[in-house]
Amino acid sequence: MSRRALVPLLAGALLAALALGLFTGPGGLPDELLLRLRLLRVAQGLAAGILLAVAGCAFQAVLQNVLAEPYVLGVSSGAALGAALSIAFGLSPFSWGIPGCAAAGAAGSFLLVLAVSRGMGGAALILAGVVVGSVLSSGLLLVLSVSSAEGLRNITWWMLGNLDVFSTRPLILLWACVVVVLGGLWLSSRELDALSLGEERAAGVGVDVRTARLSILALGTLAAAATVSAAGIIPFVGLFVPHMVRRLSGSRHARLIPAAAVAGGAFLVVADSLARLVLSPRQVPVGVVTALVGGPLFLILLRGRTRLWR
Amino acid sequence: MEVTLRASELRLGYGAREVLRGLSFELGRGELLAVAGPNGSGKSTLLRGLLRLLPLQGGSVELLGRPLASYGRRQLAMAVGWVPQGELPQVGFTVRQLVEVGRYSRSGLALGRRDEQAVEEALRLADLAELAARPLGELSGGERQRAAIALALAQEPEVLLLDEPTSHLDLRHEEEVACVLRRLCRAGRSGVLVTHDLNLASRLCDRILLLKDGRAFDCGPPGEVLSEAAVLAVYGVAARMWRHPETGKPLVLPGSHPVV
Repeated sequence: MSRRALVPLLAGALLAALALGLFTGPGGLPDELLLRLRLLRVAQGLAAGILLAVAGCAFQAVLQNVLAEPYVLGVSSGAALGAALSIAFGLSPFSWGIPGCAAAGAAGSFLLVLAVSRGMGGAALILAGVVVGSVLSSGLLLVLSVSSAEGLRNITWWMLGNLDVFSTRPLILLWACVVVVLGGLWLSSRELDALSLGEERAAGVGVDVRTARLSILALGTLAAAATVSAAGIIPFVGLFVPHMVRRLSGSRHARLIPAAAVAGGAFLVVADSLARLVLSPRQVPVGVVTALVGGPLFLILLRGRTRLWR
Repeated sequence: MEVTLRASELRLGYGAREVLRGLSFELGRGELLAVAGPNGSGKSTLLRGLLRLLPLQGGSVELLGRPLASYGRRQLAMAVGWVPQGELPQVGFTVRQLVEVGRYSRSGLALGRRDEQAVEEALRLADLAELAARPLGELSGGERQRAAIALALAQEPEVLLLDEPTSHLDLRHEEEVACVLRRLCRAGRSGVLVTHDLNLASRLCDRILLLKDGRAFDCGPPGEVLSEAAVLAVYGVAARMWRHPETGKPLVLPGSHPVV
């Protein structure tokens, strides 16, 4: 496929995803209300998909690791622990309690990872992320083991990821994060290009590596924390979408970031539509769909591995 | 000769471990200086210090008439280009896209006409103009190393620092890189070439700085610096020395017995 096909392809995918998200699914409610509910849900899916995909691009460049994804610095475990604690202590899922605690957990784990790996390179950062993530996951298991049956179900459901929207205010906050993260990363696209060549070469061409790395990691983690808080853990979008898009857009971040944003948003809206439709009227957690769809697609990409980075 | 880089009593190290213990040398405009010495003698540490990736622990460095400490990261990138050790990572850039990264310090968010001219010039100097649209993954080792040099050249630096740029290349590709370096020096750029290959240093460079234990053992033209006694003193290896029949440059082979 030629790179000239990129814009029409992405535009087509986005339109198809929006149509799928807005006009399919079980009915039973007045049309106007149904459209409003679906609109909110599509808006949430778009925002989360954008955030996860561009955060994946940023982490892969800064950490120079093709496997890096938005949760690589332990953010998802921190958020999950925060959310589980809030559910176990009886905060209602319809209030700010769960997203707030999840965001606090995500921020805490990010700061912990930064503190632990201070003054060391990207590899240490990934290792610290893995270790902090495992420790926090054990904390999560501890909370699960002492939870009531209902708490257990709520925590599990939250962790599997879903795009239900209960009120518009968190959604507005999520879109504010989209503006900050997308704008910040796009403005950092030249730093991202340089950092993808390694920290030494980036310093050699004049990038202030410490500042650039920290600000980009902070933006990526903000994206991950915001998505996790709003919609739970949604795997594979941040890993799979950047790799797929890179093959069409090339590796330069000035093009890759906006292209990944559109593709990530469209992918998650489609995945969420599938989540609503497959076992309708039952809902499948969207995180299950992204893994079931994204995993095999990623393996197909992997078969053409030599082209993954071209 | 105009001096572009002057180090006086330079001390560098990692925490309490001092690697360079009072090194002084000068680099003239258009000059290619080889830095050689055993592993751990401070060659790469020297380059890291000159790039301000390591803080000076003592002494001073003057770059283009200004103290090195007065340079910001971007300003330094405009004066000094760096080709670090090792291969370029496998990123999905074309050659031109890679070289454009070198304009970071001199351009705004988008590249202007001036930047494009500099990229063309860097591609030409590295003999890559015809491969500009090629993805990096499709280049040979020598072509990739020339692309890494072109990236540094796009910064339009006065001084180029190269850390073993030919260590993983075969003879032909090594010769390609050597040609590029000679061309650069004729064009008035200066270079510091860290290398383990004494014969490459001898045939390519104007002077050799031989390091031992963080100090200069000797510095001067290859014919004066390289000797059997010097190799024994610096590397602890008995070596035989010949003169190239045409250029008269010294050639070194380790081992005290003639090699068949």
